[in-house]
Amino acid sequence: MPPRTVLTIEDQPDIRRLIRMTLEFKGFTVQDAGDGREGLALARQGRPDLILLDVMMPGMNGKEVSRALAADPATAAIPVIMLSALGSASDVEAGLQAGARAYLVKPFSPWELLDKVAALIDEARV
Amino acid sequence: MIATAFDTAWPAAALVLLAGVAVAGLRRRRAEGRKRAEAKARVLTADLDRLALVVRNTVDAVVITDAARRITFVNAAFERITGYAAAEALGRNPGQLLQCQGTDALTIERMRVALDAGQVFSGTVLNRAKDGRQYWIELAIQPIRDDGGRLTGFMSIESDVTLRREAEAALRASQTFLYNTGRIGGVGGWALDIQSGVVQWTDQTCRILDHEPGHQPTLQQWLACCPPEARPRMRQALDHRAESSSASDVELPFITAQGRPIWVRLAAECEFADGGAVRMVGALQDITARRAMEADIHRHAQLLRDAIATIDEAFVVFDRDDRIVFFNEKYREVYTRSRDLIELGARFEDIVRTGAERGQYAAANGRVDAWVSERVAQHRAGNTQLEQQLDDGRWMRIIERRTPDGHTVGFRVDITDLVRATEAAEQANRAQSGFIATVSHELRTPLQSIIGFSELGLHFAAGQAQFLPMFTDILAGGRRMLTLVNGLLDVSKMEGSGGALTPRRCDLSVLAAQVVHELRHMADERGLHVQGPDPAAALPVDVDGFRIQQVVRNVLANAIRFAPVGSSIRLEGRHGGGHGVWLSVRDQGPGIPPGELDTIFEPFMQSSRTRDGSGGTGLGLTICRKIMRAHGGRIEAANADGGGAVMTLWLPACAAAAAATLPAAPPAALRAPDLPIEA
Repeated sequence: MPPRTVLTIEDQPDIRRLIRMTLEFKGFTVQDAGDGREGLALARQGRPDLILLDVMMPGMNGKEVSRALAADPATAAIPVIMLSALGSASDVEAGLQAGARAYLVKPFSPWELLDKVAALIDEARV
Repeated sequence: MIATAFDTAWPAAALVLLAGVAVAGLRRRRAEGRKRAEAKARVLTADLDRLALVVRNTVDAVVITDAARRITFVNAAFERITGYAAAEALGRNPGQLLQCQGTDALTIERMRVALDAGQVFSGTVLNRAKDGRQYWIELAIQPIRDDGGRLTGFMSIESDVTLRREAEAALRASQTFLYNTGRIGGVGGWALDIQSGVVQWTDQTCRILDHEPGHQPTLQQWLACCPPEARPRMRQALDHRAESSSASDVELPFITAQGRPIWVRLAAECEFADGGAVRMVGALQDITARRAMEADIHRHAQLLRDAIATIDEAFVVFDRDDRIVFFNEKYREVYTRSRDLIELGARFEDIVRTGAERGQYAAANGRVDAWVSERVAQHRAGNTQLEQQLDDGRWMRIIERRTPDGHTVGFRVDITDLVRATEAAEQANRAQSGFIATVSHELRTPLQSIIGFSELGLHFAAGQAQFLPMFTDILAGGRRMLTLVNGLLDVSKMEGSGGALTPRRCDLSVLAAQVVHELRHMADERGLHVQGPDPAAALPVDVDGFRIQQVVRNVLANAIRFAPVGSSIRLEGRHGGGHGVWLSVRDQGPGIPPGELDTIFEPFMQSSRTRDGSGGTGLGLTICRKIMRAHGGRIEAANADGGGAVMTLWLPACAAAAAATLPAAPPAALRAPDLPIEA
């Protein structure tokens, strides 16, 4: 089985590093994008197994990126986990409606992140 | 044959009619010498012929009977009236021949008595002709006596009075009819002879004016019924030379003979003869009641108008053709640019179109035609409520309703202040939501690094004793910071206007049981036994379950934190029917210092018992109280009789469960003494 690839689209470098460290620790291949446009391009090009997507980003925000991913047949099947500091029920619902498969409220625990990522990739492979 | 026999009988009969004695004399002398008799007879014959002619041609029936009242003679008029030929009548009794069921028995009896006594009788009786037709006759019967005074028969002259009687009856009926209609309608009649000035009143006119029936006033007396100020109008109505004289109709105040003020309607018509006016005739009607009713209606209408003019809202009524039939001044004031268009009879569409062209309506600028057709359609729908902004920035609420008879009633309420307040509130809400989102992001995002890396650090430093306490402290600090940030955000959300809660029908027992399950590890760590609530006792409430669980979690976590190791904590629910539901959490700890029972709910007013570093941000109970208040409920702290603290939550009854399915009072078993809050 080839290494599973996760694309992180997140404007905060420290959080990108945290995610990279967490996932690489468990053997994932991690790609980073610092904004939505770059993330979309990487997703189309690299076809990752899963995308971690920050919601509140300058420029193209996470919901717009999610909708763009869903609209593109090349990326529509890639599961997306949204990451956001906004944690109200309506925020979560809006994220799921924009196409995310899961929603993690910041600050999340690295172990929680690993659980969600592994579960969604397994689900997608089945 | 019959006619010939009658003809020979005529002279004798006519003789009797004129003078019975002469006939008797004639008979006596018949025995005497024929010649002398013939000489005399010739003289008489001329007279008798004339008499016979009269009898034959009179329109009255003539009947002669013998003493036994058997008919011996009838004339042609009798035959015509009765339909019986003379031959059929001769020898018959007139009564048997002609009387019928309708003939008045009393009259017949009077006749019989008179005739038996040989007396004269006259009267009117109903008879029946041969063809069954009934007719009235007036009859006069005279006895016939011979020279010796002996009764030899009767002679009856009978006039057919049927037509006269019918005419009399018709006249009486007509008079009764006129009298009744006049009486019922309060209408009398009058006439004024122009030449003589003589006034005639009908009885009904007399009655209306409080005079005895039959009273006939002079013209001056009649005019005096009318008070001086109205008298010229009455004069004019009665003046045949006036322009309106051919027919006039006026309403006048009158004073009756008894000093009673009334209103009358005086209608007059002029009668002409030989090219000149000869008579005024007319009707006089008492219209006092109608005038009073009209005055009443007028008063009510005026009252309504005054009331509508006085109210501070614009009011307008359009008729079925959409033309203004009523408006108050306020309505005109609202529309500063179309003010001059608003008048009685103006059409709705004309007003709004011209108003729109002049820029009266903010929404119509640049699209007058489209706006006008939308507005007219809404207006015609007849059940409209809309908000309209005017050119000067004011906002009007327009309410239009169709009445059952097709009028449209409209109100215009100035809601500028309301709209501005709502806008300000919405703006504040948006600002607050933006603030909360920003703060969440700005405060929680850095915590992601602190908490995330310290957790990873703890894992990777597992074998290095000097790093473990560092990562532990960083993680704990991060978590405390997160709790504080979350608390601050909750407080500010609860202070926001609306939108913070999404209430649903929940069972408070179930919500509490889930929290108990969630915190069981925390309780186990301290060897605590958490009891209840009884899952069988449903506590239906309309709440935001997430928020209420937040309250229960906070309260239960506090109890777990303060309860002595190995003690128990009891959750108890209570249903108060329409009075709402209670949930109490009781521990066996040290209780709350009495002076702090209220202040523990204030922000950052941590109880003295928590300042030892046992955790808490000082916001937990503040948030709990805000959540409870947002639900219309309460949270209160108390110390139980047997020691320990009791936190009690109360929530109002949910609407549908209030009466129907739940007991009005809680069962006695649930009235635990340690529940301090009573309804």
